[in-house]
Amino acid sequence: MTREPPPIGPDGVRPRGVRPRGVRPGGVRPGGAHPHRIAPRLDRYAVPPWIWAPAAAGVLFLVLPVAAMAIAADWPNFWTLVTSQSALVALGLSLRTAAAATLLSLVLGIPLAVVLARGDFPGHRLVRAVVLLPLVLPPVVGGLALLLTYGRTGLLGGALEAFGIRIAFSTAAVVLAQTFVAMPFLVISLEGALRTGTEAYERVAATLGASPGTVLRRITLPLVGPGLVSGTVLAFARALGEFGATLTFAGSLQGTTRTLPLEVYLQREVDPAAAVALSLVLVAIGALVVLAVGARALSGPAAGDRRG
Amino acid sequence: MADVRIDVALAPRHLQVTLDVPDGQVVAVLGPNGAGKSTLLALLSGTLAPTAGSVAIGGRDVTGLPAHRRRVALLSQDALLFPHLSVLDNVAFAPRAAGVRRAHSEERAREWLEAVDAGQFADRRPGQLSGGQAQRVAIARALAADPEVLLLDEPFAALDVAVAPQLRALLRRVLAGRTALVVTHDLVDVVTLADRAVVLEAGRVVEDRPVRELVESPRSRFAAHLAGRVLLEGTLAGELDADAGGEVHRGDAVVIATALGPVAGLWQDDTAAGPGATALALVDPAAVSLHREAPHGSPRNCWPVEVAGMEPLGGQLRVIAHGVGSYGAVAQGPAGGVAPTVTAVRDGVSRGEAYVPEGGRSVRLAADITPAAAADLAVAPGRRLWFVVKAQQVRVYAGH
Repeated sequence: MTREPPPIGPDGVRPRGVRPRGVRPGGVRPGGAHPHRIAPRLDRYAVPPWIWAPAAAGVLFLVLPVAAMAIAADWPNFWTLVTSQSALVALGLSLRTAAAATLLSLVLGIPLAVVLARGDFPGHRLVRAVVLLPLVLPPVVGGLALLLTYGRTGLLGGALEAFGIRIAFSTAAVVLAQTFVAMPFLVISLEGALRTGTEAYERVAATLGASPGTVLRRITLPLVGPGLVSGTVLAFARALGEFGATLTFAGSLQGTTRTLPLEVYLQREVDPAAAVALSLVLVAIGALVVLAVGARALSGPAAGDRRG
Repeated sequence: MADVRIDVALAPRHLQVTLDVPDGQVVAVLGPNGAGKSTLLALLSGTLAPTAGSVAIGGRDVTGLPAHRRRVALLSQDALLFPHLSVLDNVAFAPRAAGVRRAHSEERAREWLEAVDAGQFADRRPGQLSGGQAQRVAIARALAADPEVLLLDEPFAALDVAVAPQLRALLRRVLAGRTALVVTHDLVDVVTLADRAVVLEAGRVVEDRPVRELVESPRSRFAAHLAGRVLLEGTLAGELDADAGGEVHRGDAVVIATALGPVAGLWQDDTAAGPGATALALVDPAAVSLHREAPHGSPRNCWPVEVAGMEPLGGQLRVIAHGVGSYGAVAQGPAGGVAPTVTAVRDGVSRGEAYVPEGGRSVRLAADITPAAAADLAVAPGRRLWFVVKAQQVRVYAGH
């Protein structure tokens, strides 16, 4: 089977309908690697030899702590430690809240990404900056901000209280805290995918009689599918690891708001062996996520090409 | 199918076009890059909104309608098949978007695929098709939308020259009886697909005529170039053989004043014209010969030129050259800017003299010669030679 190389997406802005000759419109698909499998390198471009040393040091710096944890782990009792009642409760809560936060991120984040990528409205840049703010904000600050919004004495807290809704220090607060830090990952990942040249396809679809809604559903979102998947996975991972905002906004009540990272922090003082074991569980989940996203990014469009 | 009435302006691109296309007519839209051809198509398809004016299709004003409600299908040089859908689903896309049920849409899609001889690709992915196959499918997809107007933006530009003829034949078949606009740079597209040709230059229509007329007596440099000819604009000076400034009629040998100096040719226009009328001289490069020295003899046009370059043309070479100021022993005659007198021209022509004013440098000329002749004359960029063409072989007709 021969495959055409993906059309090169136009880099940068050009007036609609005007295209430099020879440049094909349309999309490098998200994770836009070349569809051909990585071939052995034949070109002799070489990096300077000395660069290997700091690069290796960089890898060691990242790998050593994980290795240290694996070495320190109490392997004979590992299973008992990670299946203790409190651990299972925390894990269950973590998975449920992270899933809910991911869902909430999708519901709010997909429209947001579409508007940011396509919308042409005043204050566009400002909105974009605000949306990405949680990425650079210390989570504890985010938690405090949430508390001042939804807490009992917060901006909306009083009004919510009148309806009998209390958010702070509940499981809902965990979900909100996780969504607050996770959604920007989804938005930025999806917005990037939406900017890689699906517009030519959208235009064709419109001239074929498809309404904007149909275009979004049948053309745009399927085309950015891989970007959407990796954004979702990243958001889920970020939600799962959330600590600072959760602790500030939701507290640490077993079974209600004490997620796995909080459990690890707590056990660190009481039962270090349990903390290490639970940490390794989080490492394993993280590794799975990275592999899932990484595999997609490496295989590129071929993986996104849902073959019938 | 429906007629199209366009009367639009797009201020930021300096575009101002009025164009009526009757039901079932195929119009070739020609013009240099940046003339506004693709912009015109975008205004028609609804992906761009005009700053003034209106677009009407089949009598309904569609100016305010978005692209998906205009029933105008667009086919560009890239097939742009949706990569995540099978070929069949691509073709079934428009019926599905129109609310036709799946089974029925697919049935219709299969019919269209058969109609463009692409039925065997139905279950493939767009990525598994060659450029020509993909373009075939794109044609089927556009037709399945049941458009009232088809817009084609250089449909073969991205294709192999070996594949284009088959697709052209296919398009000729499917365009029969349809209202369509075809943007192209290819003379073959114009003569095989279009009934009428419109030339845009800098956002304005400069020619709008039946294809036959356009290639026979082009009025714009672009159209002449497309037809492989050289067009010289000028004003009629009078008959070559008469001193009196009377009217000229079809078949008369005439002289016109151009940037290249006086040019002698035959008046090939049914309308008579008098001195001072705008006139155009069309030179067929195949009729131009190259010489080291200016020859003498029957009425000829002799132009001193400097060779700019050469390009292969079938088994021949096309020599591109620019007029140069008079040089050598023949540097006599009316100075640049002075209107030539018929007598001076006749004398000059019979003596093999040339009067090329300074403005002649901007005139691009072409001559088709054999490679052997090119070798004999040592043709190379920068070389100065004479372009010679008999007056009988220069077609002169009225300008705008």
